[in-house]
Amino acid sequence: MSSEYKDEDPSARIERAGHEIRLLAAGLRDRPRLARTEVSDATSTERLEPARLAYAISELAGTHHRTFVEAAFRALLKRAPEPDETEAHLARLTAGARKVEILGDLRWAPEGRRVGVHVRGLRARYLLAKATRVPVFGRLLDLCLDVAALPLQPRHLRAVETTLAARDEATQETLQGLNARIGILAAQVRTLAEQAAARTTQFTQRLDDLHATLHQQALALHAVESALHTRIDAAEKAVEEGRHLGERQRERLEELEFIRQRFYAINHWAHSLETAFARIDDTARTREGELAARAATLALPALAAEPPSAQDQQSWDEAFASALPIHAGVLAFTCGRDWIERLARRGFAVVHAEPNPVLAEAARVEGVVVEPVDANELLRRVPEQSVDGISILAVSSVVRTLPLVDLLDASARVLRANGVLLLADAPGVAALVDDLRGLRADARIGVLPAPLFHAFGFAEARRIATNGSVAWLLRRAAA
Amino acid sequence: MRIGILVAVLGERDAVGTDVREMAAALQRLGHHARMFASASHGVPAAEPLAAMEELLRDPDAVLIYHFAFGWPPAIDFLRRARCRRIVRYHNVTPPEFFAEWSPEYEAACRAGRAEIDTLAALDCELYLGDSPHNVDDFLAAGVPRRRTAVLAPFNRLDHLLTVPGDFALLDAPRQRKATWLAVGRLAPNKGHLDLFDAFALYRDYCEANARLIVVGSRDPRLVSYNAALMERLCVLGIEADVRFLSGVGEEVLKAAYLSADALVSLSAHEGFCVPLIEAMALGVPVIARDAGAQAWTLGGAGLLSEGADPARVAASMERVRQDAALRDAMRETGFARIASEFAPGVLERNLGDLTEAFR
Repeated sequence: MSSEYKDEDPSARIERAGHEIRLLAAGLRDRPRLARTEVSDATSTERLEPARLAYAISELAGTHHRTFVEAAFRALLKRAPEPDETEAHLARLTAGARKVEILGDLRWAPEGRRVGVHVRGLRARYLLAKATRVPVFGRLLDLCLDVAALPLQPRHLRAVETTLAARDEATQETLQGLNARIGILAAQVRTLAEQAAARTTQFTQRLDDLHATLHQQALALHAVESALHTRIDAAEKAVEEGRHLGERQRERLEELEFIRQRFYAINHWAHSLETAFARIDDTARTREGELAARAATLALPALAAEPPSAQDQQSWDEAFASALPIHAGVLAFTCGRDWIERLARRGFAVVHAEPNPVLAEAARVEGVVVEPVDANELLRRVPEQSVDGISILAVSSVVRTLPLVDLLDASARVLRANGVLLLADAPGVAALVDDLRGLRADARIGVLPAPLFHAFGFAEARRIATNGSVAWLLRRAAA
Repeated sequence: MRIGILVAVLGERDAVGTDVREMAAALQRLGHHARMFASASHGVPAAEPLAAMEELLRDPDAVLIYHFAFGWPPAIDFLRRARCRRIVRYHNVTPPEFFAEWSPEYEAACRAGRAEIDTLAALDCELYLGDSPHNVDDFLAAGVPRRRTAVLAPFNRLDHLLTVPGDFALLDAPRQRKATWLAVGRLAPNKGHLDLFDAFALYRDYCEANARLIVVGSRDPRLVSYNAALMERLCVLGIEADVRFLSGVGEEVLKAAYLSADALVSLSAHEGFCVPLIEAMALGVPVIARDAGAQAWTLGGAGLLSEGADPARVAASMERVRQDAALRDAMRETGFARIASEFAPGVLERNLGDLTEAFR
């Protein structure tokens, strides 16, 4: 037993044994199978039958050494001694212990008490033997016993001499038998050596064959290795090319990235430019609006006392109103307050388009819808053939945002059949405002030929001549 | 307190009979008035006839302990009619599957017995007392609350076995043997004798050719085919000359068998407790057992356990036991401690006293 397990707890020892037994069991069938041996005849120790529970002390003490120990165990404990137990008791015998003492120790040990064998005469001799262990008295007792036994010693010596002689004779016979056996074994060893030599030759041949096979396999492996090297070189080259290709692609990608960044920068710059233009436009519109309002503010009082075309408007009003049905729907573009009042008084449904907020406010008349947009914007909103009349008294102001050709097309589109368009270019607030803003233009409608209007779908074009201004009254063709 | 102990048949040497008689004696020593009742009785002291139990059944202060080891419908009737407190002492019923190949009669009886577990559980008795936790599990599975269960190992005659002189006459081997296996238990399919023979043959073939096996246990004449199968297996394995059967032996011979053995080998596939294990432990005999039923609990770590009945494992265990003196000492020491703390008659009597105290 290993020393590391000496102090092992019993439960742990059993558990450890269980684990080790698993391994033992796994290899059990790998052992050589044992021959079914015939059980040998009874030995001298077998004479002490395990069923017997009574003995004479001479039966047990009559044997010696190992045989004595074996017999004592089988008689008193009904079992064979363990090897360590045998060795321990042999050591005691060698040290001079009495057999009676060993028999007594076995008989009155706990195990011996459970078996309960009775050995006649043992108890008294055991006690006597134990008494010799008592200091001083034991020595004296031992001496007395030895002296008392002296007469028996010659007889014992003769018996021992005879026994030794018999043993010597048996030993000689055994030696002779062993020598014969050794001779047989030596012959067998020689035979085996010859067989081994033959086997060695075979093995040598086999080894040579194996070496040749290994050499061939080494050559084949070398060829495979060369092929593999070639493949590896090709693969490395392909990898190198791939690496170069990758570098070029990476450079292209870097260029693309640079372009992309520039594109983003340009895009940002363009957006900023658009924003700047938008701010400029807003500023310009604001400026124009302010300028238009200021011009209107100045023009309105200047012309309030004496409207420049009051007489002309009288003529145009009569001609325009006579051409329209009762409660006609009329669009008026940049016409001024006087003209709007005239239309309203006649009971027309008037929509006045005036982009200048100051002029729009000044021309505001009850019952008239004012749209703060120019003619172009309003005409886009109005459905086809939905109004009866359109009046434009400052054509030169209107054509600044809507060319005359577009103005005539759009008007023809929204007028009903037989609807009327009044075109005039009279001096008034709108014209003065344009003058003040430096935008004055001349539509020169006075020089336009009448057939021109037919091309826009107007069936009738009548020129109305007054003192200072020219006007055209155009009638939309019937359906 | 008046206590009646009811058993179908009171045997003389079987584990249930021993438990009944020793329990009755222990109850008397504890100051109770204990009586035994059975439909048939062998040995002394004898049990009273069942008719004598009627008066006790009507006494609400009395206690009836029914020893349940196989199906017996009259007991169900008694327990139903009883006005006294009731304890079911469960020794386990062998599952019928073990007998399916060998005996339709035993198979049917065991099936009926297993069915009675549910019936007894439904009677709502005051206590279900198992020989081992393994036995208690059957009633827990049948729906009995754990608080109504307890474990009390079976009463035994270890004290007597320790003091009786061994009778080695029947074991007197005419030839010297180096290894002795011992198996104790009746010859029945659940006891694993076929596995035992396989393991022993393997041991003879690979470990120790000069070995013998002593089988102590009675043959059941109703298991003819099983007995024949055992003999056939011995012949097939070539070990018939090395196996010795001892039947109907007394405690003297049983003790001699234990003391002659290198180890007790129990390869039983189903055990509710396994009394031979504690007998071996009490006598200091190493135990090699199959980890099945309650055997692991009974051993409590004092023996070598084998999962399944692998012959190589069992043979290797025996070889290790014979070669390792320290292991044998450890097994003896652990076994003695287990007996002293759990299974000594005095311990069992004290535990029984604690259990009956709750019924006063």
